[in-house]
Amino acid sequence: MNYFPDEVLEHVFDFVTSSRDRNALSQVCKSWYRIESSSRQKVFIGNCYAISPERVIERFPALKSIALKGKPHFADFNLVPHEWGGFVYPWIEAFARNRVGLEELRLKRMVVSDDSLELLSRSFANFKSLVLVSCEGFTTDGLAAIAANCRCLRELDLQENEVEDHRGHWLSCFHDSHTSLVSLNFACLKGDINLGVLERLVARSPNLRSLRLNRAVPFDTLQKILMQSPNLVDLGVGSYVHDPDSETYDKLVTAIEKCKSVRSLSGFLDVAPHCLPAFHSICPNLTSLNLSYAPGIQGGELTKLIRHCRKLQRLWILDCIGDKGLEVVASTCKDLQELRVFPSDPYIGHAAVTEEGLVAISSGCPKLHSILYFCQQMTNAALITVAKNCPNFIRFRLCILDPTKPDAVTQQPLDEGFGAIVHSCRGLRRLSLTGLLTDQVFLYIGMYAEQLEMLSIAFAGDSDKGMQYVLNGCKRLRKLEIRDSPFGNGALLMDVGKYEAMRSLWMSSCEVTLGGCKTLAKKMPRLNVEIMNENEQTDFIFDDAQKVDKMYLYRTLAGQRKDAPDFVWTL
Amino acid sequence: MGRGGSTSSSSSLESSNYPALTSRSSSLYQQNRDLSTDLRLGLSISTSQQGNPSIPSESDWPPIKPILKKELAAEENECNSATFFVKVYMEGIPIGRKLDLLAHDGYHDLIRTLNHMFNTSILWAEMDGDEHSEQNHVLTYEDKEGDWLIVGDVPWEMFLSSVRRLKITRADI
Repeated sequence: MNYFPDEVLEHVFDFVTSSRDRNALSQVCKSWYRIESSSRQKVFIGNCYAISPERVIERFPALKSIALKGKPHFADFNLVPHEWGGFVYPWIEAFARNRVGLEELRLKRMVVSDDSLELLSRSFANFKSLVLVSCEGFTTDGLAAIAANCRCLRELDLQENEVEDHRGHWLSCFHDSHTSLVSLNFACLKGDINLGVLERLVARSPNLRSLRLNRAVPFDTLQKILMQSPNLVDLGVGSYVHDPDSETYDKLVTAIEKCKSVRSLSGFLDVAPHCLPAFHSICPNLTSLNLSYAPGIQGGELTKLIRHCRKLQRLWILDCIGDKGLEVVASTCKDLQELRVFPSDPYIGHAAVTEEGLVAISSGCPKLHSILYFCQQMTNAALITVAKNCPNFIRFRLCILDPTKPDAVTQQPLDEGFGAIVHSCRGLRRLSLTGLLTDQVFLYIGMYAEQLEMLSIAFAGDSDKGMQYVLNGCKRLRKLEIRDSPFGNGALLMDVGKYEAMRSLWMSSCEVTLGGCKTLAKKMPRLNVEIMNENEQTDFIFDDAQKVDKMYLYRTLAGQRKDAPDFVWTL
Repeated sequence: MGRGGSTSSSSSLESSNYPALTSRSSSLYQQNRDLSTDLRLGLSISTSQQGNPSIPSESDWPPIKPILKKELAAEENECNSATFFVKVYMEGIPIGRKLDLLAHDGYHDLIRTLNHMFNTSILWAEMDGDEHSEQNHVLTYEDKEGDWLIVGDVPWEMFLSSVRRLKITRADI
């Protein structure tokens, strides 16, 4: 098989960048495995407990860039108890000890302590990029260590993390000689920022292309920063409360007009009404707009802004845009590929969009392939229309605020509507369902959703058959997460081998019992079957008939994890 | 591990599955909002949600990230306390008053307050023909460009975005 020397193969492999493709390469034969593994620089670990850091380092000695995910997805919605795990420290410690030349670290849903950040900052001389998404456990002191010690840092991107803010001195820790910043996102920080320090940092960063500010950065600082950085490509506005002094406003308009490279806009964490027109001049260039954190923008203003955004590919907004506003999106944004509509009033349980908005979008935007839609109601007819209009969906996530609501017109379950979606969208990889749903919808999913990799189920189904249809039919399924649905041991134990072909299974408030989970754990030693029970009764462990509150199972080569808290039992 | 531990113990209460311990006293689907606001905004009041035992607890439904939920809740609270004070002068009186425009829901409300504040009756753009003779004063405002205009020609929201201050002048212009 090897007509070429290793170096040639390695060179060819350099052109193969996605993890999946490289995984495929490594399975062709032993020498390809060897060459690929010794040359792979970028590694993706979907579950930090599936493998030990030592094994990763051993297999990929050229490791420079790693992405790790920790907690299960439902942790995003407070379903995973707080101390569950997902600590990054052991990974950083192992990399440091083994002198890995780490340059990039991307973490999602992990617990990141200040000690971890401190160790990270001191251990890797060429460290360039830190991206933390939905993480927690650190404070601005940890950020100070990163700023002070990572002299080559190009990217510090904090997305939606829970950070304890000890006030703004961390920004001052960037040395005066630090001029390499390309990307800085601190929008999720709650505390104050030294504005002078920020302005000077921006002024000495000629390569800065992405800047997302937090709400402590006021209007006039924004204006000064934009004057300094007309080459920004991605801008997150912090506070956008203009003071009645119109001179600053005019200066901002001038500064914005100079920013011809901005393609992505977000933020507006604090907004005064009626001053969005300042941004109308860059709207025609925007490909990405995220206003999901801007509840201060009224629907009418949103719509006016969007009318200028003809090139938009990605739009994240709140439902105060309304169905009518979505019609404007549909007629304006012909290149739209991804849409997310979030509920602006989640506590009241009322959404301002219905099936009409979704239908309008589907008929106006032929390139749409990803949608996350929180709405008040849905109908089968609408879903069938959407399926016909948009056969190219890759991700389809629908959340009706009342999760067991039937078809708003016919009062029937929404089985047929979702059935149409999976039947029409042959490339569907991710699906989330809500509404009144019987086992029938899962029959459709099992039959038609051949490419489905991730499925999220809440308050759906009638019996074990529902889950069985899915496990039987969806050959590519990797992640299955289920809450509050009547699936029990019959479904859980139907095909235990399947779970080794999947990354993970989450079931909470379902019908599975302790006995069922024990049986599964016994049959499949290479799965970690974790049980979490709210009651913390020690005699729980002896009552096999008791239902399990939360079960999370995942395949692993690392065995039982040693950092599980008291309320988590691994069977 | 690390110092993050001290914060987690307080927030573990929030993330438990016990009934939500948030600052809002209403439960998820209780309609304790001003119903007249609902009707004015054309929202229907859903009765199907009340008392439904399967509606999930507030802390884990709907499935949006807690950090986003907090932002949206904060905005709800802020909306109710936003203010916009402008100066109001009456012609001939050197000492002016200040008025919160956001505490009023439209021109009629504003005129009523001013009539009361200055003990007069004020003419503005939308008044009927026969009332003209009764009015002693006219309400004008200075806009962002420094021009003086009569109040009431443009929609209320537009007025709010351009007004800088108010002046009540005598009606015999």
